[in-house]
Amino acid sequence: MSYLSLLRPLPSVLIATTLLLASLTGCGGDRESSSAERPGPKRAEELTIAVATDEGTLTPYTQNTGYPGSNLVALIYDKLLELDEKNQPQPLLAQSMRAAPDNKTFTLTLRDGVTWHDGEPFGPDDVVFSVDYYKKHTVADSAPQLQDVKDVTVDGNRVVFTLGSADPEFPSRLLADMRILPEHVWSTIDKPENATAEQAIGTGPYKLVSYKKDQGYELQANPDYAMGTPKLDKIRVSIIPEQQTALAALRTGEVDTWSRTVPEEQAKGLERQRGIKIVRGPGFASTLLAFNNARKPFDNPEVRRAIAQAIDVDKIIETVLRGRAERGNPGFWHPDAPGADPALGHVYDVAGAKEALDAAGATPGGDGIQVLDGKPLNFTLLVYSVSPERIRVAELIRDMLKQVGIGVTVNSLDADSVDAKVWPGYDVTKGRDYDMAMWGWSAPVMLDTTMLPAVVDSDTTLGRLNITGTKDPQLDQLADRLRAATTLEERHTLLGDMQRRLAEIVPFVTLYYPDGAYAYRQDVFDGWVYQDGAGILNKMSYVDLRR
Amino acid sequence: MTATEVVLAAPAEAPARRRLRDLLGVAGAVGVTIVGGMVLVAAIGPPLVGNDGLSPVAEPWAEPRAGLWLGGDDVGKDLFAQLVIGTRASLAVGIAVGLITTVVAAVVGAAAAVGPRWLEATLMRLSDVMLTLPELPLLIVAAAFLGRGIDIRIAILASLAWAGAARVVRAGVLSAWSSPHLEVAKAMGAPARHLLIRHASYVVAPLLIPIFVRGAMRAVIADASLSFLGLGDPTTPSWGTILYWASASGAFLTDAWSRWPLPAGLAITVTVVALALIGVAVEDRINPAMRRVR
Amino acid sequence: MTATDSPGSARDLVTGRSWRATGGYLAGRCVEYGVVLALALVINFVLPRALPGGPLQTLGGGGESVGLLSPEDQKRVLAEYGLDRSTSEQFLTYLSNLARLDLGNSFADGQPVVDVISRALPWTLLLVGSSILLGFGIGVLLGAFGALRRQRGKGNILLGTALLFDSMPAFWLGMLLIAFFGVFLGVLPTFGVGDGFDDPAALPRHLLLPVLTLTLTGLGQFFLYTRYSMLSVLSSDHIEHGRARGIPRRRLTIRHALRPALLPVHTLLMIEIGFLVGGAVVVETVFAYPGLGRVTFEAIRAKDFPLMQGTFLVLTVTVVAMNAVADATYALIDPRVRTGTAP
Repeated sequence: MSYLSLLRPLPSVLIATTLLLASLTGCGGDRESSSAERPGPKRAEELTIAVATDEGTLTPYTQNTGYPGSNLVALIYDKLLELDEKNQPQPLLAQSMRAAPDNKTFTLTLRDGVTWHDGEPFGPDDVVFSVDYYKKHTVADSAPQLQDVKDVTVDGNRVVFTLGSADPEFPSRLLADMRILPEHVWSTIDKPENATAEQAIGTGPYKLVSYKKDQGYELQANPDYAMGTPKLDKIRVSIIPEQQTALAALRTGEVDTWSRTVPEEQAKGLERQRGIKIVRGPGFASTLLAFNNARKPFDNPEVRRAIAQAIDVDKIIETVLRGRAERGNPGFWHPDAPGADPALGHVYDVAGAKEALDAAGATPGGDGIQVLDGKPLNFTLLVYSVSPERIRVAELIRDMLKQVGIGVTVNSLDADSVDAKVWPGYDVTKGRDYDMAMWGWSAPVMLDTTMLPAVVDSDTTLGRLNITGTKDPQLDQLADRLRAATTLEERHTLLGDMQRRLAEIVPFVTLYYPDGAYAYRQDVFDGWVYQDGAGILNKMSYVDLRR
Repeated sequence: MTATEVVLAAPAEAPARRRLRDLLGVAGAVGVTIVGGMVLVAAIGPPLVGNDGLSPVAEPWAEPRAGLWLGGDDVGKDLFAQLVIGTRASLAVGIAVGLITTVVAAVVGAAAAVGPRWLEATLMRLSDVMLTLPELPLLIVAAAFLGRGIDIRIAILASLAWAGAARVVRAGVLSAWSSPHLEVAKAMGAPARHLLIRHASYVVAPLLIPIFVRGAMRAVIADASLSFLGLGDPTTPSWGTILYWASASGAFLTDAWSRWPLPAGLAITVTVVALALIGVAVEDRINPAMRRVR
Repeated sequence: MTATDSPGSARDLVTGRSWRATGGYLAGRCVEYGVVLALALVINFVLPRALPGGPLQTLGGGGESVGLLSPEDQKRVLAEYGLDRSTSEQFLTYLSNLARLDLGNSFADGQPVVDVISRALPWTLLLVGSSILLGFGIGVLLGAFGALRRQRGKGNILLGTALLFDSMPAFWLGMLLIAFFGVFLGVLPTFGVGDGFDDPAALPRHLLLPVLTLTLTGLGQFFLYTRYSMLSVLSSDHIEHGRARGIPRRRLTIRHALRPALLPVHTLLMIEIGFLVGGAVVVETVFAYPGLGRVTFEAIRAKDFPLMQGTFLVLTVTVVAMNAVADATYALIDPRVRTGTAP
């Protein structure tokens, strides 16, 4: 009977564990149930931001991601213009800008009394230097595309940009994007991709004090900042790769905000905790169902339209995003972004989808899968394994297409494997090898009307983002006219035409645009400003800008 | 397996239970019962739960109710169904990897210990190379070129696990090889193969049990960890998949933690503990000399 | 298997070698390890390039930026990093740089790979090293104790507890610990290492949870192996002889049972230390810990060839070195192997 003794310890261990675990139920987050009514402080001594990945040495050439990498670099480096909450360009290093009526010449008057972090004065030569430098070293993570800038001249404290062709969006797209580099530092750097943290010297509101790889950054307010007053004395950036851990740290107050959108179920729990607030707003990043337009049967617009009709976008948004997303505009453009055609809407109609498939020649086959041109409609849907949200959407699309007799296998692969099939070598001239893919373009795309032509133009030197292999003469013609248009109004009109054409031929299905939902410790700092489509990590949040 | 089913099917049948206990001791009986139960669940459970755990059957984050015993996950898939169906994948990975690892390690380890010099050198250096292979990129490469199926994961996990185990076996055989009575036997001219099988195996065989158990335990945990790192297949139900989605939707910090990440984590823990208990029990039985230990 | 038939072959390896033979043996071993290293170096070069996708997105900018570059610009970017040349040319460059101990600069942020690794390595040594040492120490002690008290309550409690923690996935345990100690009790930090070595006083608090997670989940294997191995030795003839000859129980246990029983455990320890440098990717990720495991993981994600090659190299060298140490130190632990004398 001595064996029996073995049984004794196990239950007691189990009980102890169960008790320990049971006590965890208390951390459900419902202990405090006050939502934040009273506004918190608009200034703070110290603030900690959690980001998911290391962003290198925080120079325009060494940041790792567009978001939040560029947003962190913006603490240190300034641009000539800065976008406001509604994405309209406002003065920053330039105190005013004048555009010639032909939108080919832009004259900027620079602000006086601006100094670099090391005390050297900032001047127009730095602007000229930056343009030349970016043209020479195109390897920047978000290298501004300056090929069209023919000439930059200095006239006193004025800088004049002359373009090869008219570009009404030059100020918002390039002047508000190009970080100005200090000539006295960067003229000696011939390998900008190796720039060190010590060389991260800008005119920005914060100075980089320390950088520890995979741990984080420390930034100190720049007391001499000429364009406004920093709201924080010190900003810490902590790198926390795991979402769960970042949310835990937000609860304990170890970090004060997190760069990512909080999943809705978490947001509800966080909102109940005293001192934490969630701010929501539109996000301009898009989520698409991309078809390989060059492959049968996706070369047939009727088939593409039928598939689009079979997708219940509202159900996807309700289920996967808990309602926190804007429905996709079939014309791709976000309804809140300048130039959108708000009249377009997604049509969900299963019966219509079936009819359309029948009309295209589909006949019933085995297993409830339709047959078209002798081939059963079985397809693979590629999705990034790093994107749980898109995997869930792909699964729902699989179930929805099953209803109209289309079989879908969801194939979740690492991002590079998906890219290698959808966008081999990041060069659309190399073709593509997929049926359908969950895809998306980032938020800044919506702020530049010429990006829509880039997404759909069949001329691969112009349609660099045409990963679907869209080929439509009418779209190509509209794209040409849009690029040639010299005024913003004209461009917006053509953008509207393109959106309507897209809704007709459906080279891809624009499913939704996830809203931004950012959690922050309101009791520590409440000065955040939500920039449409981009979130709260922006210069307006950190600085009281002088306008 | 038959003994297990007897225990499960007829707990009142005392003699059968006693036989099992006599065979394996209480620890082993508990382990076999649990693993047997898991195997039973894996075998007959999936058709009984009523859905395939692949598609949503309820609203997102549904609370538990009749027929939806653990509620729904972030899109309303049946968590209980996923738990039951996931048993198959986890057990298959554990047992298959454990078996492959043990067989390969035993053969390679023994051959390296008593084989000729060149064989020893080749095998041990091969195991060194295997040990130096960085696991993660290997898995990514394998996933990219071979897919993410369960067979691929078994092959990869086993091919990464045998090398360390083979070194342990070799150490055990070397130790036995230099034990006094084998030295005597060798001096008397007994053939090596005979010595290896008849005598060294007494020392080495008990070592194989923990190798199998550890191989299986590690594989179950590693498989879940791979899913957690996003290197599994998040669209097929497994315990690792449940934990991946729990983590992706932040369920650890919500009220759903006790019906979502907890059961899946416990399922892994209980299975692995049960395997370990069997290992301990078998090891105690397999070596008759061990009964003498006081 | 013909040579196996002569019982002398294995014996010659571990026993009865003359010093001259030992010298030749060591030289042979060095050649073998050299071959292993060479093979591993080739694999380290090939593996990053076998991964799907290339480093273009890391080099040319994420998202749309890289696609908006013209094909000529893309080629220029690749050329700047020498990636336009043939694989064999790249391999030669890699070897010649390696010979000069130049590991290159990381693609992701341009920093020298040597710097990146030497910053992360101490953290990994601290975390994984202390966990393995704690796990080894506690595991061996408890394992031996468990073997001696096999049939009693205490031994069984130990067995049960060790098995339980050993059986938990590390990330799962880590997250529960964060939720309990960090969020619910609020007594320990949930992530990172604070100010790191600049604020050593705060370090233990930050290290506690990750070390606890790794120790608890890693201790079981040392416990089990020691227990198994110890039980085998305890039941072997020479312990019986010793008992019969009246050797005191304590001396018998430690000198005659524990030492030989540690032989396989010692192998395990060396293997674990080899893995040490690979870090504990999962635990480092969960606790936002700045170790080598995360560097490796990020390097793989970014297809950062130089950084991958660098971290793989550190891994390779350590594993080979530890295996060599394991081979060389068998003799120190098992006196029978050392003296090579049969009674």
